[in-house]
Amino acid sequence: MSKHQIGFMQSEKELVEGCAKGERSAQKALYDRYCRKMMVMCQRYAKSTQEAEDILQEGFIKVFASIKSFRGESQLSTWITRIIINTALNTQRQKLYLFPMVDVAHVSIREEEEVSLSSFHFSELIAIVQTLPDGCRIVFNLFAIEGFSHKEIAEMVGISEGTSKSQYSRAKSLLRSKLEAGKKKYEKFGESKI
Amino acid sequence: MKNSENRKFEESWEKAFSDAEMNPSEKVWDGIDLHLSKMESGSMKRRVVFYQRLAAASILFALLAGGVGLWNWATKEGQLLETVVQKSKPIDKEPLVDGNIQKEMTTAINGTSASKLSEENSIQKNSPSSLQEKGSKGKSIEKYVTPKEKGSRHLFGSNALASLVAAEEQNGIANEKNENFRLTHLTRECPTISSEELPVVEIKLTGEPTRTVAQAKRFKEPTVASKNEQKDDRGWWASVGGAAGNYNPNTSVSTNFSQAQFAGLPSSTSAAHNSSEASTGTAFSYGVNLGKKVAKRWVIVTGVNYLNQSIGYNSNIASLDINNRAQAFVADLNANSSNLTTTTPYKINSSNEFLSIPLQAGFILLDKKIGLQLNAGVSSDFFMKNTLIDEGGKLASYSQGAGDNSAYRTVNWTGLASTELSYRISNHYRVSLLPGLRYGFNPVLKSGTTFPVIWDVGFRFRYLF
Repeated sequence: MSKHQIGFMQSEKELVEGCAKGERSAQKALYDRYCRKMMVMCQRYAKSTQEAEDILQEGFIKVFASIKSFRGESQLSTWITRIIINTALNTQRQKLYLFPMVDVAHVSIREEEEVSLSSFHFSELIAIVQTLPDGCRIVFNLFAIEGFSHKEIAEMVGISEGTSKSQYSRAKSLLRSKLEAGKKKYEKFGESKI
Repeated sequence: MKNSENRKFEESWEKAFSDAEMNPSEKVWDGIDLHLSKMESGSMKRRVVFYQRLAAASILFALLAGGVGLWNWATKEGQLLETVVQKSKPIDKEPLVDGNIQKEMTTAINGTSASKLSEENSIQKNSPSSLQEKGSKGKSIEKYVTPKEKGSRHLFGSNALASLVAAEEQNGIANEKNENFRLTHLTRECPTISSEELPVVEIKLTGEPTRTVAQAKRFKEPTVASKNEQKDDRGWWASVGGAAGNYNPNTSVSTNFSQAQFAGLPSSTSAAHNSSEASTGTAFSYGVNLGKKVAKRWVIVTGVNYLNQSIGYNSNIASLDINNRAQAFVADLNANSSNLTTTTPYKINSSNEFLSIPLQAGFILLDKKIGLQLNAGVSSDFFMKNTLIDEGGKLASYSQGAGDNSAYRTVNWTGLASTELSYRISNHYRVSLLPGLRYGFNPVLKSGTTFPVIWDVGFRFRYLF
């Protein structure tokens, strides 16, 4: 039985205690347990896989550096997720400083035309999300997937609530059009799924 | 309704990613691992820097304290010499009251000699200090000198004269003698006034004269301990103590070999050949010591101590035991290359254990309630064993003892230097703080070329027999 397998058998509390002591085996076990899920999240916030891996690496370094402050008041996965999101936002904030988010005036939303996501693999969805402009992508991730309110997003990103809403509307519109385009492409080639 | 429909969009996205997992590349963990290693070595370096600064500050403080003590001692020696020279001068030829006498009086009053004479004359209360107080307040100091005393002043010297004056004033002798006294007023306002310019006042006193015993004062040498302090002269003491500090092998120790490099390695490999990064570790020791005061200022100290020197390495090679199990390994050990293999980089801790027998001479700079002592000597360090431990716990630990087949020298010689700052907490107990240095006179490894250095701060709890 390898060390990694042993790591999976360890309880969350033992892992946290081991990481707090600086035990590399515990740190590796914790990383192995959460890295795959966090990688998907990083992919959603980043523009590329390289950028996502940078966020993941920086995020886990922060996790290990501050794990002594984890008091177990929330689930470990929630705590790690929040750190990774903050890391991703810090990375994207630099871009947002250069290209600030503004209110989007006219966005046409066709509510009646819902596109089912079940026909897409999540890697395809990630690729679609990555095509969104930086501001739209961040607001979309925070609102639609993480479940933050526009008020919370406004505070987190440093924009107005109205800007958050308009950016989300734009993201939604863009995603719909991209999903439709993708669906037509598959239908044209007689494929329902990649 | 519209809201619930709108929410479907978010829910579908949330659901699409709920169980999604994706493997990051290996280089992500490698980067994290590297960063964590740097953080650990950074914290280690901070600890090392702390010990270094503490040791340096303690040594500096001890040197300053020693310097001040020596300066005070030298100054008092100078004053003693000056007094001895002035003793031989015929005082009658000097002005009775001038700057020199005033200075000498002040010296006698301020110095411990005055208090000693005061004790001898059974003066219970602060005669010198009262005299000094008068002077300091700008009031006149009256000096009474009988003709007989005047004629014999050169026997006592000026300090004795001042002490005598102080004693006489305290006892009120001048008021009881039925003789003429020459009264001289000294004022701070006119410090350079000569006796010829002062009026001579004839005073007639009534009553029975009392006998005044004038005694030439013997100056107390500053280095001689008082009665209480002489308890430390009894000789033997025993102590328990320990020390902790930083250990610098003075060599580079990072041993990351590529497979290609590794294949060409000779069986006996020195880490210095392929190292790229210097490192420092920690050291600690504890044990018992025995000391003997062999002279007024000299002590001899010996004892038995356990010494541990630890250092962290980054290594990517491992040795294989008879069961083909990978063991922690560093390249500065002798081994058959066929028993070595490369592995993923890991942090290894190498710990050397010694039995140390020091022999030191100590020079006592200050031997009072607070003591200051400079120690120097040599230590015979008998190698016990070396243990290599993979801090990550993946590889088995590896130990090596002393002997002909060992890569380590059995007997090592180390130079010792320390400053001992102590405090006497009772007649039998004294605690000490010892910032010091251990410098290896030979490499720990038989094939080594560098000499390890330890800066440490020790603590000693001493029992005086």
